Amino acid sequence: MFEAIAIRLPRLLGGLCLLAGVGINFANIVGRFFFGAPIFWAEEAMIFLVLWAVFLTFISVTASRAHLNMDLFQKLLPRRAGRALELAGLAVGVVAMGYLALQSWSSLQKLWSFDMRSISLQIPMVVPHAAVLVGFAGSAAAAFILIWKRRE
Amino acid sequence: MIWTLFVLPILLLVCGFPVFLVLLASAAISILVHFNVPPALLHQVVFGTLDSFALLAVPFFIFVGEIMGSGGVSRRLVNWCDAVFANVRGGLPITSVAACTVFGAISGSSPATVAAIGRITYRPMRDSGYSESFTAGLLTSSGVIANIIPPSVAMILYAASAQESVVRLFTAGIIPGLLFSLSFILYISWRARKDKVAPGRSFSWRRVWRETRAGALALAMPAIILGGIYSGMFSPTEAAGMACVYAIVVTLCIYREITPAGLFRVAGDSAFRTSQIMVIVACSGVFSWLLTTSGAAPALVRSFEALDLSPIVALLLINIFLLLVGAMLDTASSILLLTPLLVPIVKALGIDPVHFGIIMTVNLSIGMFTPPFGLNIFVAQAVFGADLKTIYAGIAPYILISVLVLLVLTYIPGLSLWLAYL
Repeated sequence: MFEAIAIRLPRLLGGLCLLAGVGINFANIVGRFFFGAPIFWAEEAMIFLVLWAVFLTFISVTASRAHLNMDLFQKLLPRRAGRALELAGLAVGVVAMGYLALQSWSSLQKLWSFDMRSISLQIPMVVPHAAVLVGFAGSAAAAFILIWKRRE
Repeated sequence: MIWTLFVLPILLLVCGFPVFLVLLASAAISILVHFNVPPALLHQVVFGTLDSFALLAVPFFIFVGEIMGSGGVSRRLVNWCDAVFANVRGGLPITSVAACTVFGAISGSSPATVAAIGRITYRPMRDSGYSESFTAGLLTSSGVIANIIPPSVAMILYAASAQESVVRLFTAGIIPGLLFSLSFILYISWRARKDKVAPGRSFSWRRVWRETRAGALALAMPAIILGGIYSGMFSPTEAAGMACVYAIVVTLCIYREITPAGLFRVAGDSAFRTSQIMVIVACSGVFSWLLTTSGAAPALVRSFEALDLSPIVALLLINIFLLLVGAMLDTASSILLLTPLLVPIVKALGIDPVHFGIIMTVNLSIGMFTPPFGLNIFVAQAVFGADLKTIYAGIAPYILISVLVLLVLTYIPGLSLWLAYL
């Protein structure tokens, strides 16, 4: 269950966002060179799609414990100390990512109340900004579940 | 402020915390303790850092590399290089270096190059009598070329972090990348003569023609990417996106070595690898912003200036520092952590930031195959199944050669800047 929701699903959705970004880039270039009609919203759409790809897959990276780190000294520690440090890392992660998710939530509320829209696509700016909230809240939840599973 | 922006990150990094978390936690504590700014700024800067068209090139180049590795492109590149270098002494190892260079001119990822080319050339080299140590060492080290020769993910990250032109950095990387390739090939030739290695098979124009035809679509890829960028037809991001489409069409419809389901898997893998890097980019944006607004970066420059070091000595010290960092931390994280700190210093010393971008990329790339913790070493261990001691022995000469090339590139800026400012 955890693997399907926290690892495989975000990875699949992230991959789809990436493929959609590649498709829009191609359509824009074809439009520009062959039809003299570039897609004016292409750049914005690609950025938003990649943002979603990054933050959705961020949940998967956290759940897989595949973040880039310098584990040089951690590996030298005795096993129990190493595990304790790993657990501490997850706990700090829950707090820091949860804190950022809270800040994202407050930013989204402001964007929503001002009805801010993107320049080219004219979509509510809440849509791209929500990727940060989803990514960090989802990641914090995944880290919390990892700690919980350790307890069991 | 010093402890939250300098001491705490080092402490958390040493404890093995994820790099993004090191940056995020330090920035959040700094904002809460020292800065009188609304904490919602964290969200704004994280979003704003990734809201960049230039950075889109990173996921696209990662995607190209993944498709090429799975879709038979790398095998065709190796076959072509093998046909060209067939009758040369040490032809197979030279083929590997040449293939890494061509592969690097498409993918821009060092570990992907080691895995893709190594998987194909390791067994034939071993069967031809090359020792395990020599073979593993060569393939582990040759991955460095992909990081330096354009397009390079490391250079895109440096450009974003130092506010420099990606195209200029790519152009500056051409000669250094080729210099690495050439120096490795010269060493292999010397070694092959010394060990009296017989040429593999006779050269045949017919075989070259056959492999050229078989690999023409793969060989056209660097031309599309680099030609498109340098002719001004595409931006680096657009070129990377075009290369993705081209690679999908070639591997899915023409070579038929990847299935539609496989393509989705590869896209998911690429998104995963992209996220590992881009989340660090996002959090480094907050960290850089704090360094700038707190006045820490200018203070660091003043302290460095107070040492009254000549640019030659300063660059030597920076090189040593970066080599050590590169051996312990991956290239992307190192660039994002250190660029905001080092670029103001080198600018104050009168060093061109494009030249420094090349120096930094080369240093950190050497670190990728430097024992004990270079990332490529572990990729090689996983792919070749060789033990670490054997790999360490094999890469020793290449580290020496690479450091010599690094010194040449450091003290002859023209090698990097001549093409960049042409």
